[in-house]
Amino acid sequence: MSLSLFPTSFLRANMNWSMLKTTAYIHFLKSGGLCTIQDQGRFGFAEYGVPYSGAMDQFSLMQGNVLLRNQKKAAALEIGISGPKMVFEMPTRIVFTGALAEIFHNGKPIQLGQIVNIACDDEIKIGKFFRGQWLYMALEGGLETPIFMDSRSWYSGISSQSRLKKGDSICYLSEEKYHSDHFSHPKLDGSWFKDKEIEVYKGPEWKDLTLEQQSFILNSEFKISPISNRMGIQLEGNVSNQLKEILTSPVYPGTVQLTPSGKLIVLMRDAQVTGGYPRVFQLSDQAINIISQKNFGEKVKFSII
Amino acid sequence: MEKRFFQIQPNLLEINWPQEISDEILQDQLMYKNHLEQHYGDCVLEIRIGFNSLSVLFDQDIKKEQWSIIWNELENLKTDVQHFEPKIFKIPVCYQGEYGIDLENLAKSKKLSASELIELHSSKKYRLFFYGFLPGFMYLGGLDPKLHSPRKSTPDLMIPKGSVAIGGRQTGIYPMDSPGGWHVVGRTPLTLFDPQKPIPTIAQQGDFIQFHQIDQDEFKSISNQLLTGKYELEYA
Repeated sequence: MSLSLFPTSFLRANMNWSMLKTTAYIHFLKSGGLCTIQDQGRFGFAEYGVPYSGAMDQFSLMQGNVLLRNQKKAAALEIGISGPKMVFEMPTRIVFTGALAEIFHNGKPIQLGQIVNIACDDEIKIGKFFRGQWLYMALEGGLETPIFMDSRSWYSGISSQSRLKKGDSICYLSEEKYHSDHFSHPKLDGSWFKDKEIEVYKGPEWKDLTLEQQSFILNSEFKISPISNRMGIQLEGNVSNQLKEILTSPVYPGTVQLTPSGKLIVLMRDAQVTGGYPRVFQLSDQAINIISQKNFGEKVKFSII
Repeated sequence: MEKRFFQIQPNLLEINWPQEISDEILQDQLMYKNHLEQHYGDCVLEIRIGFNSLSVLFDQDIKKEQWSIIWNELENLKTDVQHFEPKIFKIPVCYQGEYGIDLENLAKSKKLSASELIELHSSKKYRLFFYGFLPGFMYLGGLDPKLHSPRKSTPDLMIPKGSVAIGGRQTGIYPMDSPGGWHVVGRTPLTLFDPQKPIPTIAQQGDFIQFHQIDQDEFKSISNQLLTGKYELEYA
């Protein structure tokens, strides 16, 4: 019988476990510029044309989850451009990583990397961004938004929500645990994404460029253009380009495409899975995180590994 | 057919076929994909296919010696080893009224009548080469050269889900609302991408798509049957 598969001892243990945690919500009084829920990404569905999505800066997402001893796949709030304001229903612990920004807990400033004990009805407000594009708020146990195709990452057409709006509520599990306040915490100052140099591998069509084009690209500094989003980052400046478009081929986050008009585009987490522009570079994993945090107008320089 | 490979990063390799769109290449790709999944499934994270390329992402860095063993196996695969029998899916399309909003203009520019265009579009079988651009968007080969047509110079901001369109040398179906620069000639009531299903799409790489014309009443009745779960997709 199926019941024998679940001895009463197991059921009891399971019930106790679930009683320790209570479903609670974060209510958003202000949505901020571009806030989404992101995790490591949505893998294994590229053959159906589904992009990875996931946190733009995976390094900072991971830092947040490590600080809270979360599972690697835990989802966090990704905050871009400007800050939201939110109220928590129940106790939990949170930590911020990534971009340097003004963060207030009940009006008092808090630091990146500082684990913050949240009590009932506490308010978090994000102000100005000083440096970097993406700020992450990881929460103990991870955010409990619905899973679509093995991931909680928001992407229009896959997840039911694609962008946080004022009045939205996000689910988490509150756990009554005693935590002493942490006075020491790692100093996260964003210095790791200061570097101008972006490490790349040669892309499949790199060899089709002339030596002049290759040396121009490697010896130039390119500015981050404001035409940038979760799909891709366009770079300012023109590369003379006589390359023809290619037959539609695989592309990945970190693929650098050269458009017919001579612009370089760095594909990011929400990029489509195939593309028709020549692929001149592929960024290393950490280079994708670094470039994601670059502000408009900042300069980058490619260096081949 | 000449094939080359290129190591993009330590755990990512790409195989390239000559610059052409052909069934022969597709057959090779499906055979390679099958072999890699069967024999290296433990360490292959993902395989992506383009018209003349196939990329393999491994869960670890691959050394030259390791890859040369795999490459040798792939090069020696025999075409007849794999028995892939493609299905033909019949997709109902209403070409009338608001559903085929660009049909009249496109027909005029091609010096065809609307019904001639519909006939040319719905009489062919289209091969599904791969999915890309949007989740569930099929790259289909086989559009009649008479219907090849440059994309709109200014893309439309919103092409509705299910729209059947022509752009460049291709025809395709928008699986979800999206901006796009293709000429919309009709609409299918079917849902071609459903993220709630374990396999979110209808057709597989290598299968065929054929459009068959329905009128606005049939469009409505199929939409209703889809809601009540009574519609059955035709395939052969």
